[in-house]
Amino acid sequence: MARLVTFGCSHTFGQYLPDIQDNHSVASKLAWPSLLANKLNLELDNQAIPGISNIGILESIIKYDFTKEDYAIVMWTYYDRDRIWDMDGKPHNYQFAHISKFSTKSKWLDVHNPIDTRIRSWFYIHHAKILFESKLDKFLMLLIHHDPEFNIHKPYFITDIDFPKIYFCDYIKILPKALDENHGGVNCHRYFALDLFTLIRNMK
Amino acid sequence: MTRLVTFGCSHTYGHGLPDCIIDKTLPGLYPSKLAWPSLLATKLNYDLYNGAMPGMSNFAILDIIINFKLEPDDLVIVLWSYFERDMIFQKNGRRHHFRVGKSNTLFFKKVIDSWLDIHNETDIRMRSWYYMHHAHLYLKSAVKKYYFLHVNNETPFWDLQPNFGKEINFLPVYFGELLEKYPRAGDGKHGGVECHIEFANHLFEEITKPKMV
Repeated sequence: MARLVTFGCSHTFGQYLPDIQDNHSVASKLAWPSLLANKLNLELDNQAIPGISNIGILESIIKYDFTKEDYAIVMWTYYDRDRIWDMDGKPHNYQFAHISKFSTKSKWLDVHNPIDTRIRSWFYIHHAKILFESKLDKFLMLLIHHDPEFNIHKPYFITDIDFPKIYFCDYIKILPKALDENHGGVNCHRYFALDLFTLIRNMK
Repeated sequence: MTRLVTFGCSHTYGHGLPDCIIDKTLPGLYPSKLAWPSLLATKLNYDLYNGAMPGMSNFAILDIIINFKLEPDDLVIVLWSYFERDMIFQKNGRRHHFRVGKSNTLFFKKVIDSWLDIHNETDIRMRSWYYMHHAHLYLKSAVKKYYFLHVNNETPFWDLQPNFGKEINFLPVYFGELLEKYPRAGDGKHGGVECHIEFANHLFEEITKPKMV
């Protein structure tokens, strides 16, 4: 049976949905990847990791053992996240806007301004796209929210990446939240999966 | 006519060679005709586009590669640079290239000091593996033949090699080893004329030798 393979952060994992709450070990069956896989009649492998950065998502994609029939969907995360490898080679993901230690946050902002982080994300997206094109017949890439600045800073080499205008954060804004009052709730995932299914069906 | 397209830093640009030096320190305005890309193109009887730039980091080299319009018949050679370099995009979108620990303005000194607090040697080497993998996939889809080289055969870099790095082939020819063997260029730092000649000869041998079946 063909697989739906999804990549992303906590919004793809379904963090704080009622069936998993704050358990980080198993993705939620109420999250949009699971609902979408049911609608598409595909097996699901949800590779999302809460708190991950875009370079972390890219790493998951690169390491994944795809088969040609897989359908991959990536929901890229917020740009203010990064991954730093420590001296032992262990990766750590950070969301710099949420770092409480002021000195670390200000140092990160000295180096990586919001434009730098967005353009770096374009590189990761381009990298993933070439990889998908070499391995799969079907893949879809989504952005988590609508950010006009992101398109303004699109590098010249990005000529053929257009993201569907469907943003998970729009659903979070208008529908009841999950248990932490921050992530998307059950209906948010349900409607997002439904709209994504319609989009995919129309694309076919 | 087939084209040789090269990317890299000052060692590919030919910084310091007699036709590529200003005021005994600065690189010339154009890549040197005495640098290895030019010598190799002559040996191969190919046209040449030398896309190298002095001071480039591996991130910047990737940036140049994917912004360059390649033709399917191009032969591409990338001599990746030192790891202690990085590139950041400034708020106006312009690129700033720097070598960690070296800055000529107070503003960038602050950037570099902060960079050192956030990043480290392992982090920048791991990132280089991603840049190289990105370039590898891109070139694989864009041209028939391409080769990657390192300046130095550096153990800490190989120790960090992720599984995906094993897909990438590097030619076992190191510019850094020849740097030590021959007199330096006019700036006293970069490879001199003989260094470039021998490097071009080694590369020619590697590229043209019959492959084992």
